[in-house]
Amino acid sequence: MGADSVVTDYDPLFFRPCVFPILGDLGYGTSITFNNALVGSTFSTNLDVSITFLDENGTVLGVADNLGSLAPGEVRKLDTRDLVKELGITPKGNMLGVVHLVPERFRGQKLVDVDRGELMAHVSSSDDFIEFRQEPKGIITGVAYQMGPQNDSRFNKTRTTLLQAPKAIVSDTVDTLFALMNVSTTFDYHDTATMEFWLLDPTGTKVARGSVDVPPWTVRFISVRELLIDNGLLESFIAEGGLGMVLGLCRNAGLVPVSMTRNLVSGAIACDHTLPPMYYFTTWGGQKRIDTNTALHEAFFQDAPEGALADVTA
Amino acid sequence: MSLLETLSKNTAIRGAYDKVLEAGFVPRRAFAHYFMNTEGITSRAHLQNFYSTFFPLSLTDATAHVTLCDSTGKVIARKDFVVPPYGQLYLEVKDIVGHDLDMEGMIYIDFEPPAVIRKQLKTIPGLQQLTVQTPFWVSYRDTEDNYMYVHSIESYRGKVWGAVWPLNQMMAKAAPERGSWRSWRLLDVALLDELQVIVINHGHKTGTSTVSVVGDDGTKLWSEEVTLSTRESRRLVVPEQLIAQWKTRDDLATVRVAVDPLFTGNGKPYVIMRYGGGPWSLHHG
Repeated sequence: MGADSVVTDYDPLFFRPCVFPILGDLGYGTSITFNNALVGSTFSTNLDVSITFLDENGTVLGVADNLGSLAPGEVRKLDTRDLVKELGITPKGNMLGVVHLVPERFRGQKLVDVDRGELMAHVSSSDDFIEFRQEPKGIITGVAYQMGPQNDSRFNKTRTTLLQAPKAIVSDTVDTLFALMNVSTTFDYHDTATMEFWLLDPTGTKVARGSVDVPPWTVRFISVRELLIDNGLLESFIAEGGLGMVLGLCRNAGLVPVSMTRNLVSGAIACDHTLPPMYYFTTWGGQKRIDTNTALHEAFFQDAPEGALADVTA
Repeated sequence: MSLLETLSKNTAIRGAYDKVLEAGFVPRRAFAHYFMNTEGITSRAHLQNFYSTFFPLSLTDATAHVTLCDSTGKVIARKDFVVPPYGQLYLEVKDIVGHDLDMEGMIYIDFEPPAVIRKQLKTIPGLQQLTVQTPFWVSYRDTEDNYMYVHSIESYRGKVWGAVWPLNQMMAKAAPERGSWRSWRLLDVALLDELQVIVINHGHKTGTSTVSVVGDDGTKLWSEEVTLSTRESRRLVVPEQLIAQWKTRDDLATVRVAVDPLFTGNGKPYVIMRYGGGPWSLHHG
């Protein structure tokens, strides 16, 4: 094991985490299906399971640490409503949940040495499914995603987030939310992230501008509908088709965005994550990423007209 | 070792290829999706001019080449759309075909970089390994405006654009990796009303696979063998009587969808469900 391949003093709780929003404030129950998907590898091992719940300010409310372990190939589904109830937590606001999947050999240890290859082997084989539920209405839907180490300089040389999502759908009965999670590899993470964004119409014309602060270990939402209402543009935007793109840039943190197009009457909710730059250009990254985001900020965000800023922090 | 790998080890060929890449002839793959305009569902492709965000000092129009196929894989429409800087495309069947049409099948979009962008591709690190891809989203909505979404996970493997001709040909004819796949999403049997699985062959050759639903212990509860030609898709409906039987079993809380093998590397199926009398839910397997 070479020196570069090892990260020392790593909190094992974040060896293979899955962080997810709990949409209690929006009236949805949240389930999580997680797995130990790394089978037949030299890194395959049993993973201990625990789940931490945080309130809307990023404060840890409780930990469900009696959830046993998963053998390689095992998968489990839990309804967070049951766990929250068992822990005596009174749900309030939009909370965060963190599933921790930790190799058995790290049991009881606060800090460990982690092999990057082993960690990434587990992360890249994962595919956790977050599910939002309104059972009486038959609404059960969600999205699968992987989550590597976030906002940890040992893994991420750049801390930027480019959100480009042509998924802003608004109608008389539909709103689109962008959930932004600001998380890290330690609960001692203290950095508030700021994302500037514009709503663009299909011609690429700027419609309305906003900015959102996301405190550490919280989720915050951009509501396209509220942005339009705040700017007196809801009716005209819907009349033009109700379709557009949110283009956002965060220059001080990696944020995890999830889009949610929601029918305000039926409760149906379409969830999806956005796509990182490597989906577009398979080798994108490093200094090119930093330079481009700087240029994008100067060319696109700094040229915005004065007075157009609307704070839509949820 | 593949022909491509062999050629890449030849110094002279490698040097010549580097010059070709620096001139902007970088391979480009088109992501593909399932597109559905039937059963009360309307699909819409969502694509943005992403060259604006990655090259913000060279704002320019770019052209999307859209191809729509029916469920047999036959191309039913090809149409080009110019997307302005930071602009977006929102395309339904009538926008592509010219009129409304009851159909379902594959859609793929090649988003061609203009010359001013092609010349700058050499500034992207790892040029020799670079592939340009064209991710887009497809939304599906019912008549009540209940939405579902998918993001791009697999490209149409049968055609490659952007590179020099022989490389395009070799990449497009490369045999796909085909692995066994089982979903990590657990579906609640007690609430399940409907279950459909859509498989697409993103590859360039005909393939055969087995689509299954398996129980908590891995037991196969339903399966169907499917042979698909290139670009062909199939929407398989799990019999409702079978789902009703599953609900009577005390030992069956959840089920999973499986495909063995996938037609291409990441060509996971699309899954449609209805829970508890609610609207359809559609997602990647």
